[in-house]
Amino acid sequence: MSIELKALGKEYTAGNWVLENVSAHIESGEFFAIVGPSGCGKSTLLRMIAGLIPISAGELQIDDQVATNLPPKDRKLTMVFQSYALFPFLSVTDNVAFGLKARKFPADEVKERVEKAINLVNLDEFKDRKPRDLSGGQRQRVALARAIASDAKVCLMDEPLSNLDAQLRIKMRTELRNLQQELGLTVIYVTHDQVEAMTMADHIMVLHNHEIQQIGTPLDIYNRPANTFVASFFGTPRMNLLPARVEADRELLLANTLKLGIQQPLPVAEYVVGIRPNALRILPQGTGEPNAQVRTVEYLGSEIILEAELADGTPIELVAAAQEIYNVGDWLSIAIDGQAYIFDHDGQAQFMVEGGLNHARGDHAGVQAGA
Amino acid sequence: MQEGITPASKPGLKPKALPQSGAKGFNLHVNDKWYALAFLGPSLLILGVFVFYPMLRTLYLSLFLTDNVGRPTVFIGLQNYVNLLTSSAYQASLQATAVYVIGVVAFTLILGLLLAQMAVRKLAGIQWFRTIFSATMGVSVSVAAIFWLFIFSPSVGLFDQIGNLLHLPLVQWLTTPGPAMIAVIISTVWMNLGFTFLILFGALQMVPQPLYEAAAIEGASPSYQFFHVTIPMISPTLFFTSTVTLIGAFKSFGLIDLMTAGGPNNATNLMVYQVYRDAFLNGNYGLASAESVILAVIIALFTLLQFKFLEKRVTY
Repeated sequence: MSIELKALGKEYTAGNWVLENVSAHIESGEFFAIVGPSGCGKSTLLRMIAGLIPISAGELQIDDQVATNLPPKDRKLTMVFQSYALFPFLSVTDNVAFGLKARKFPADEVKERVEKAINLVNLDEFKDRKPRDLSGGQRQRVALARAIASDAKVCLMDEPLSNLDAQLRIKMRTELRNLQQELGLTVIYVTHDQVEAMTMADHIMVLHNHEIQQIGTPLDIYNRPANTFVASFFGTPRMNLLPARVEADRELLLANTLKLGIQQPLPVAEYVVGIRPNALRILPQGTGEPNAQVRTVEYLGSEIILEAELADGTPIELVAAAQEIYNVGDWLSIAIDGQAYIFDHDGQAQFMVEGGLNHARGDHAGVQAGA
Repeated sequence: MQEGITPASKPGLKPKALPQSGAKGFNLHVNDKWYALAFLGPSLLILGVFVFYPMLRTLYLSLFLTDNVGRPTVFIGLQNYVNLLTSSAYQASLQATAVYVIGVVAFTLILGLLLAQMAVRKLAGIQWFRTIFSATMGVSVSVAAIFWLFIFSPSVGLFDQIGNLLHLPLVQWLTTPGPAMIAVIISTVWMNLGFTFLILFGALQMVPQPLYEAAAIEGASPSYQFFHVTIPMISPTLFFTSTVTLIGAFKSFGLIDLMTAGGPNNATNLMVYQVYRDAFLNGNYGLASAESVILAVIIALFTLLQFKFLEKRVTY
């Protein structure tokens, strides 16, 4: 069951579009994540696909058939809600059987499907309990079992893991992904958590400002972000976005401090250069001119996140090895040692520079620090 | 670090401290009883004077013949009860009460739920309807009785006017036994609706929206959702309103007195009204007391039954 979104749009009041021109093709059996910050319209989009709210513009196709105006029950899909939406007065078994009974499946088929679904999510010993006697993770499984038991091959999930504690969430990620693969489900998964999207999805749609920012595989999105929003949204710690201007023929000056050589000449203009913290290297003390001052130090055990300020005051995040010792106020010498992304003034990606580039010359750092 | 460990390494202090606090606790406990009594006293006094004493006095009086101001004269044991239960007039009153109570409870719940279901929809101007639907809570029984009297009045009343337009035969609403019962049931249901609507409306609003959305996606039609999501979700409230309405219906007095005064031909002579008549019109306080006791027992029995049966269905 593939799903086709053709220029979908949603307006609540005339002319006030909360989503515009959303197009995507979701393959059968694919795990498709919709990611974005809160308020970007990702849940709205999911509810439009589910048929819970009307579609204002565009066309929705499910399995090559137009479904734009079909009622929810005729769209052949199921949904797992953030709140799980379990019926508190029904046992686990009856909750899972709810849809099958509503659709008037024969009793023995209901029983068979329900038992299979409950078994798949490992809830056999809890099948007679009411939702209130289950833990958050178990409720989550009941909601999953209900989706599995229905004959729909498309499952919509609206932040299904966000009510779980951190450890369980990580465990459920893997379980959910395995279950999806095992059953060949097509999953459309809404989340605000970029890590969830990265770890689970085959394709990710990034939504922001009422529109699609980028659609691609997790690798694509991470390695070739289409704009500064996508670039800074994916990856922890976040990518540093530094203002840059053309300095010489094939050279950019970042935040008036760091120099970046480029393979091709650029027209003179303002640019933004994105560098992930792990693409920045802190040079051993005494080997380079100091160009950044430490502002905060976060020990994470395996590594240290440093927030520093470049000579001209631009903040920059760095990752350092855990065995080093840094203090607030220390001067560091940092160099670019990996990929750098060149975006134009509007934040649209231009090209990428592969690492191993020289840090700023001492005279620049000195001049700017004095200014 | 070391300082942090030291207090924990002296657990020996704790058992010593415990008996002391225990003794204090005991003293406080005694004081608590007096405090409790001081706080409860006023309400106990009021309840005693206006509830417990009258209840016992009623039980006592039901075993006597009385003079016409209610002083017991001759002890007759259970004779009042025997007389009542063998009297065909009293049996008729029981029957009328049964019809009335069933009618009132059923229609109050059904109509209240219907109005509440309509009012939870998000439509423009719906808050006006919500106000109107709950407005009967603020109407006094006497006012309600008067305007229902107008509505049911023969030939000029609203019902007969409509009947006239449809070429239906004229109905003497309040002076024919069957229609009179229907008329008092309609009026009582109308009076009850405000409260029932408000309570059920509140319950419907508390049903989480995702439950309906999940049900809709799972293939449940609106009527299936109503019976398999809405009703079970509001069943505790339904149970509460049904019990309150049932007790209220057994105790109806004002509307009956003002609209039919138990007539015509005792067709709307409900148990409470019979109590009133026997005590304050006929001066037969012993008999009226026995009637009160029977009424109290019946209400208690029904409430108990309702708890027993409905509570099993109140599913969460």
